[in-house]
Amino acid sequence: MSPELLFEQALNGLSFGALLFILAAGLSLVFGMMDVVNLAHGAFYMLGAYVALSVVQRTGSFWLALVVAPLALGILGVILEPLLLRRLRGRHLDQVLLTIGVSLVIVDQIGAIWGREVRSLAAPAGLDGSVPLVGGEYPVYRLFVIGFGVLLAAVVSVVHQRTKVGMLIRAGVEDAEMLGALGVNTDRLFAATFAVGAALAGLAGVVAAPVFGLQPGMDGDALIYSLVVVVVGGLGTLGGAIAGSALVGPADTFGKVLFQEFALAVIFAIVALVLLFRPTGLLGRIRVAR
Amino acid sequence: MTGLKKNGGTTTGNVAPPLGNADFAPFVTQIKNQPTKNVYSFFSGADAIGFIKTWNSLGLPAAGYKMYGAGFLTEQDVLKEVKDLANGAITSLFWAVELDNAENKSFVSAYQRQYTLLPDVFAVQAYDGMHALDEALKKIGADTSDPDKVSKALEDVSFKSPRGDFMFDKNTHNPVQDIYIREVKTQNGQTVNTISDKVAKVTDPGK
Repeated sequence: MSPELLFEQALNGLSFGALLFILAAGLSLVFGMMDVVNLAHGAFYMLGAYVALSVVQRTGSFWLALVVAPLALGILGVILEPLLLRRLRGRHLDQVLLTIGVSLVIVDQIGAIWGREVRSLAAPAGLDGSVPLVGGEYPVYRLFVIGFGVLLAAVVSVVHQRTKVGMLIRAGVEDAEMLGALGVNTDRLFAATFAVGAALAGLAGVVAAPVFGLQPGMDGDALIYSLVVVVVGGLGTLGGAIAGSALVGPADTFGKVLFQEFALAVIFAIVALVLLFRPTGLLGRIRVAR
Repeated sequence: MTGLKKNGGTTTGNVAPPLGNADFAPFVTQIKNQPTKNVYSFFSGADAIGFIKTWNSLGLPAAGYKMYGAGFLTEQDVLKEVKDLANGAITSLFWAVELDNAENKSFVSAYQRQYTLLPDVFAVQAYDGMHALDEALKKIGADTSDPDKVSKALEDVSFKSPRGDFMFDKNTHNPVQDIYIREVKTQNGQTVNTISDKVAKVTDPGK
């Protein structure tokens, strides 16, 4: 492979990794705080993309969709948590089953409302072209995705480390019960966490739509990749989501290129290796079972 | 690939994305690693849309690459999403919306009265499937008590389809039909497959 192509593949891998970070951050946050692997995360992602499609069809503005879709998913999250998940608090396996049910309902409703044929969303004006880059042209939108992912990671890190909300999140991840005993309203905290997780999934759906398109089955792909990222990175930590997506994105891209026949096996080989040598993931903590 | 080699063609290599693959960029970038600029692909539906969009965004048309493929690559379900991004692609299939025969004209206009879209090849296949069944049932007076008689009648069916003359190969039960060479063009605001050539009465080699 020539250096130019190597560079282009590196950009492909990085932009995929950036998308994976946006996707996995919400899953990781919800797991860290609530101990629930939200298997509806892929459906939230899909719904975000379809809401964006409708917003763009009505108003023609991608940027409006980038705000409206996460907001809509956040509202859905803040309704679903108290309505469904809260009733099963402490019964983690039941909660996980419940999220599978939620995902089935959402995906089916998407099919009923938006139809089941393949759709696509154009990149916004200004980002829909290509720029000359070593060895050819490269789509501006994919460069935007890299920048957006890095920016989001920086913003989330600052919120996580330097603000009161971040402090509550870190405390909740450490020990939500103790946080409740100290007078924090954990019901509200959990609802907000679930809403932010859903909003991040919706955001990922909007950002990914111009690259990957919209089609039935996109929820499952997104869910599997985001699970891989959080398992590799370390369940429930923000640094883990960053490290996981930075590793899995490029690894998946180069795996597909270098080992064509085993394209799908490469990332799972990474999962197996990481779990073998670091069962808690790259940056995971040892969790005390409660 | 076997057919290509038998007729004196050569290939320089291949790139194989897994089915249902979401990100085409790694594979399209890899095409630039090949010494040729003529690329044949077999995609349909979501994969075809992803491939064509990525092909354009990575600048392959500007670099002089030509896209060829099985007709599903540029069927109307794909073209309505990618539009003029597919212009210039050359594919082969047994039908195209632009086909100039009386059956196709009435099929396309009847379809458009029902739906607001141009029909695609899958609509034609379903339509011809029902047409074949209808012909067979007419021939045996709708008496389906003997399955062998039904399959015999179906085997002998021949009719004018939107794709041209349609009949079955007695040995394999595959259709015997004309195959059209089509080029994607945008005309009057619609992106369609225009017919540039035709290979008459092709018997499907599949068994």
